[in-house]
Formats: sequence, C-alpha cells, structure tokens
Amino acid sequence: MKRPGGELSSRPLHFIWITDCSGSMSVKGKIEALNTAIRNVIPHMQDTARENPNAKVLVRAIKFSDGASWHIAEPIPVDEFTWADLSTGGLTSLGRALRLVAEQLNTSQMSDRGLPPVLVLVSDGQPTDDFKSGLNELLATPWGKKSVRIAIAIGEDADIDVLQQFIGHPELKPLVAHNAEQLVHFIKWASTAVLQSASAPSSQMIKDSNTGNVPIPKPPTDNVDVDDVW
Amino acid sequence: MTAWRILTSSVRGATHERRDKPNQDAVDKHCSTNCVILALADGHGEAKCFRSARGAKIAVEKTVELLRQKFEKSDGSPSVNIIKEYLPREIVRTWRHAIKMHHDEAPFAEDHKCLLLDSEWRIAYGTTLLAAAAIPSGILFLQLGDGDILIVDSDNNVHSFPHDPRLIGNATLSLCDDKADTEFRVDWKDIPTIKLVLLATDGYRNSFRDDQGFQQAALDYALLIEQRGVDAVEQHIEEWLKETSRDGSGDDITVGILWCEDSLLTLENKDKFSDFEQEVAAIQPLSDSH
Repeated sequence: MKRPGGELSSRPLHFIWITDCSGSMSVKGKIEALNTAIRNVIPHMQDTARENPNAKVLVRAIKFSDGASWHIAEPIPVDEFTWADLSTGGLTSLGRALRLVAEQLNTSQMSDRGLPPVLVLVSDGQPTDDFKSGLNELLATPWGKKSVRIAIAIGEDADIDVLQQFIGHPELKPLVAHNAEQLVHFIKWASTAVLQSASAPSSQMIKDSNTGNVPIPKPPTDNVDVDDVW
Repeated sequence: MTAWRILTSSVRGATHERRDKPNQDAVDKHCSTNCVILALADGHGEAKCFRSARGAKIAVEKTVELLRQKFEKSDGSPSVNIIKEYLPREIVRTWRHAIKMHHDEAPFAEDHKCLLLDSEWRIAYGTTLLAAAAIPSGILFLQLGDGDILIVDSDNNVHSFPHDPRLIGNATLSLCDDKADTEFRVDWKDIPTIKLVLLATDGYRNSFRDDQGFQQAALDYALLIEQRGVDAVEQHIEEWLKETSRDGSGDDITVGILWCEDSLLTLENKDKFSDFEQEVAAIQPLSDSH
C-alpha cells in the first residue's frame, strides 16, 4: 500500500562562505592559502553530508573587496561543489557583503522547512564600509537571526571586535589563523564539525534560538608547530 | 454524538536511530461516548533539555486528563474564557506541578546540574504540545510550539492551520517558557464539517518537499480509512512514518488522527470554518510556585 503524502525530501541547509578579497590578502600567500584550504576541505564536507543524509547541504560564496558580489551565486549541492580561486584587490566592503547575504536569507527565498544556515566569514582586516548596518540588515531577517555564524581572522590585523559582533554569541570567539596550516584547521572545523551540528540540530526554545546558533562544537586548539607568518 | 475514532503512531527518527538516542515525542488519547481526546508533544532536543522525553509524556497525560475532566460530562460549547484562558493556564499549571514532583523525587545528577541554573530547572523537561478534543457540540484545538494541525472537510479539501512565522529553523515555543500560558493558540469549531483531523509533530511536515505533499498525506489517510478501513492503515502506519523520517527530515514523527465514522457531515456550515487566530489572552500570570 502506498505511503500517504507527496514526495519526501531532506531539509535544505545553506552554507555560505563570505571571503575577504581585499588587496592585503595578496600579501604573504594569504589568498593562496585560503583558496587551497577551501578547495581541500570539499571532500570532508561531502563526507559530513553523507553522514547526515537528512540535510541537503547547498554551498555558495560571496567575495568582498571594493563592494561585494557573489563568487558562486547559485546554491550548489555539496556533492557537486567545486571551488574557483579568488583573486585580490581593493578595500574591505564587509557591510555590503552582509547585505548580499541578507537579501538571500529573506524568508520568501528560503524554505520554512530549512535548517539554520551556516555563514563562515574569513577576513584579514577591518571593514572600510558601513559594516554595522550590513550586520543589522542580516540580523533583521528571520533566517539571518537563526543562522550559525563563524568567523576566521587571517593574521593579527583583522578586527576581532567586528568578527565577534558578526558571530553574536558570547561563548564563541573568532578563530585567528597565523599561518596556512592553522587556516586549514579552522576552515576544516567550520565546514565539517559545525556543518555536522547544523545538519541535525535539536529543536530549540525560541528565546534561545534568537541568539542564532545551534550548539557549536569546541573549535580546534592550536597544536600546529609552524612559525607564525601573518 | 458524532462517532469519532482515534488512531495514533509514533516512531523514533532516523537521526536518533543513527545516534542511538530515544524518541522524544509522546502521545496520549482518550475515547468515550461523549468525548474523544488526542494530545501530542515533542520534547526539545537541546542538551539542557535532558528530561524532555519525560516532559513530553507528562504533558500529553496531563492534557488528556484535564480535557477529559472538563468535557466528559459537558453537553454544550465551552465558554470563550474556558477555551482561551482557563485551559492554557491549567495545562501549564498541572504540567509544572507534575514535573516538580518528578524533579523532587529524582533530582538532577551532577553532570546535568551544570547545564542549567537552579532557576532554570524546568527547561530540562521542555516540550511542545498539540491537542484536539471532540465533544458533541464541536472540536477544540490547542497548540503550543511547533507541529501541525490539518483538517480534511467533507469535500475532501485540506485546511492547514497557519504557522507561527517565528518558528523556523527548529525554533519553538515551550511549556517551560515563563509565559507559556499566554502563547497558546486555541480554536473551537462549533459545527464541524470535518471528515478527519490530523495532528503531527514537526518531523512529519519537515519530511515533505512542500506543503502540498504534506497536506496530501491528510487526504490520503481520509480516503484510505474510507475505502480500506482503519485496520489497513493501522497495519502500515508505523512503516510509513519510518520511511518518511528516513527519506525526509530524520526527526521523530508522531501522528494522531481523529476521523468521523458517521456520514452526517453537511456543507451548509462550511463558511463557519475559520483559520486559527493567534490570540494572546490577557490573563493573570501564573504564580511561580512550581
């Protein structure tokens, strides 16, 4: 006897890289390290997705420098996702980047069956535009408020306070990468352990969910025995 | 009295099976000549809601008991005050009392105590609640938190109670909320033109590609019961729900179905069918004695 109801489907989970392509990212191999880290983590993301078949992970990316634009605009199922290298030049329009995310997270474009989106911001500097209003616009959307937000700083010149505001969770701090190996560790954590948690989240009381986070696993400690470069 | 019948089924979700976690949903029911009652609850899965399965069980048992006491001997429509103020307040009060009793008898272990402040202990039992009670004069619906209520009318149209727009991304309201009694959504249908009512925890709807597919489930159950009888549905419902969780949301799924055995449904009162209105009753706050 046929099962009642229509077609079944896993729940969509939008994963968005928000990547700094300002001129300073061309120094000391930072952009090369970022491109390599993201490319190399894709098989691990695919493994994580396979372990959580009830979440349909859809990946995109935004780049920001002078202004912001979609680097990969269409949500790509993670098992089909490939990475195109970022190039650098210009300023640090993080506010604009967050507005682009907000546009996509407005409810009419997101299924209300969806899982909380995961936003991973990677930056080496300080915003040169109105970051605060961009963040406010993001957090004013229901899905922006519910999103899991992770921030990775590349080097010591990144504005930690800005990244902390983006995260919006008192117990979760920005991760600071001082070399390519650390960046790889943090990128892998953000795109696997965090993805794992977001893929099968528990129901949360609304007063807690407004902090915008599912329970986040502990970030990796810095055990990499390599000299700091950034 | 219209001959209402009840069918329920609850399955552990595919994700919980993979992670060896229990089903945190609960369901309870009551059938008598004058009164048919169904209650579902979905215990929260957050780490600090470590007794939510117990909280859900207590919620459905106490709700069914309360509604039975209120409606079993009733022969008229309940007053608006009863529906919108008294019942939510009493459900929360009796639930709080019951979990306090449980907590007093079984204090939290040390590794759980650290997850909550002393003042937050109720969160450990946090759960949603969905209920329907059919009596001769109509049907009462109550909802706190996520989950769904679908109604199939005598024309085989499916009506869905509107969703709370705040409840996305697994966010929900809870019986453990301080103001839970003011957050209930309640509705009463005086003259039902209802063939079937389906209550479900959110794992069910979240498993379908779209709302149309979910609503189709309610219609399919109505037609199956009409054409093949309830035994055929009872025989298969558990396997259907397991399949739904496996290929859909992965969540626990609990479904309760009320259906009308009589064919006395009329069309003349269709216009009285109204959607839920989210009401915030101005009621006396509950004391914090529990």
